Amino acid sequence: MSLPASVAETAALLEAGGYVADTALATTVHLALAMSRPLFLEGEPGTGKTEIAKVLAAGLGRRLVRLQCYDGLDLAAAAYEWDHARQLMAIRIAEASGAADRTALSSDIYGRAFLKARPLLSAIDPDLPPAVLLIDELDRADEPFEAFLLELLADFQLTVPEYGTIHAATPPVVVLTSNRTREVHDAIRRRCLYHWVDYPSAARERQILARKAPNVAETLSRQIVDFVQRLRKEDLFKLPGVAETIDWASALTHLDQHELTPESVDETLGVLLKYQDDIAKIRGAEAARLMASA
Amino acid sequence: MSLPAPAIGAGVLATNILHFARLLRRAGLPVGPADMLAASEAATRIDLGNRQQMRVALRATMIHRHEHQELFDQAFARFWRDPELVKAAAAIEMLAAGKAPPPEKAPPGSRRLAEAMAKPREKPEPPDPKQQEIDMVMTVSANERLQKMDFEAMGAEEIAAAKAEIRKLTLPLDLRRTRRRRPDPTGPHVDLRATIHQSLRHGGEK
Ligand SMILES: Nc1ncnc2c1ncn2[C@@H]1O[C@H](COP(=O)(O)OP(=O)(O)OP(=O)(O)O)[C@@H](O)[C@H]1O
Ligand SMILES: [Mg+2]
Repeated sequence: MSLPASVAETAALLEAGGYVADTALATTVHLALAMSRPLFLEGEPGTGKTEIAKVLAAGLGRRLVRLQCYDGLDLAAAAYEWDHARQLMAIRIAEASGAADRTALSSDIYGRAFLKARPLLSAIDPDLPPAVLLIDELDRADEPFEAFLLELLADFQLTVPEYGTIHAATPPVVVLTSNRTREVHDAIRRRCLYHWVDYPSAARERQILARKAPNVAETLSRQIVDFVQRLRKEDLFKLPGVAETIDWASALTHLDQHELTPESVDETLGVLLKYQDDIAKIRGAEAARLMASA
Repeated sequence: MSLPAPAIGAGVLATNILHFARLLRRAGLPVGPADMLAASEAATRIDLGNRQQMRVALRATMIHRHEHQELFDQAFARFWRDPELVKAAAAIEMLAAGKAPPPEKAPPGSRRLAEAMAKPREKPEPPDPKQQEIDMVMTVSANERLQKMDFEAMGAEEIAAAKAEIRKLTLPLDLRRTRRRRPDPTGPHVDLRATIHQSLRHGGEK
């Protein structure tokens, strides 16, 4: 499938995938696609960063290759690994059959068939269809890993010392996300188009609800969004993201609530807030105050 | 990495991006040559008459951190004050490329704007007199203060001060009244790379 030709077409693609994007995000996504540049999304938790990559993959008819980052992520898990068991087997077979040409053998066992592709290699594998590569929560990986990423992000290629350099036939669409638990290095940032994903405005959050929780009644949706938007101004350990808004709306609807009441809020606050301290702080009088200040 | 030849906006627009980048650097934002090239390319891929798209295209390419966003937005609002200027830049480019601009891109005032924004015919040898003029109209104190600022190390108060300084600056687009040379809207296209390199050579900025 060809890439969208304009900001409007990009916005339509996101919209078709159930993603409610503002103009800024649609513009940045369009540029990332048009310029073949990785897209670096930073922002608060649960604001739709990961979802962008999924919607892009679906909308472009590409396979989604996801690399979830974590502390201790290494090359073997992120990019490739030699299949040592099979290499050993090949050596044994060669020895048993008396074929003692050592140099031929060693070039054999470092062939493509013995290379196990992990997400990064898979995303640029010229033998596979074009991909959307999601490098999710890069801030959780350790810094040396970023140095390794640079080659990939700059040229969409990856060098395996024993084998050679592998180039993507079609550059993958690359989306990197970070929650800023650690600052991602400037060298990575400079190769990307940058976009900060903020909490949505009330109007946009209502639109998201309409798309993601279509069974929620209009009045309830408005009340929910107003409440959540006010909650985000409170001093809490973890503010609710869009994901929490959607879950809360579903939970309330499931409980046959058509309007917010102090009781239903108190009962379901655990869907919205993930920390006991936060719940204790909001439950009761504070929740009632937030509802009243409508 | 080679830059594909941009269709529209290689000249006047690129020059404006160059000046805008200088402004951002004066404000302490680390905008490098690669960012300027990316910004110029991005500008060719959006609707130039759409101010919001323009802002986002420049922002996505020229800044790389959330902390820099507010300062960027302020600088953008100052520099690209009049969206008509941006439209006019596109119109000029199309004229220069031998195409007639669509009527809505050439409002009545566009001739004046065209003259104001067109880059003077380029003299091959530095120093570039235009850059000097720009530096002259900036108040010296504000200029120096901003150049010394290290954005990374700024506190909230200093950032506020930087913003105030930006507001006080006389910006390149304001030069249209002071420029005496006759602009030539059909003059040669500006080679962005050459212009950037030239500006780097005697601008002394990164
Ligand atoms: N703009 C939006 N349009 C549609 N759905 C959205 C939007 N923003 C968020 N969502 C929904 O919110 C949920 C959370 O989104 P997602 O997982 O992408 O957030 P995230 O920013 O990656 O969060 P985290 O930082 O915690 O990983 C998803 O179910 C997604 O569908
Ligand atoms: Mg995520």
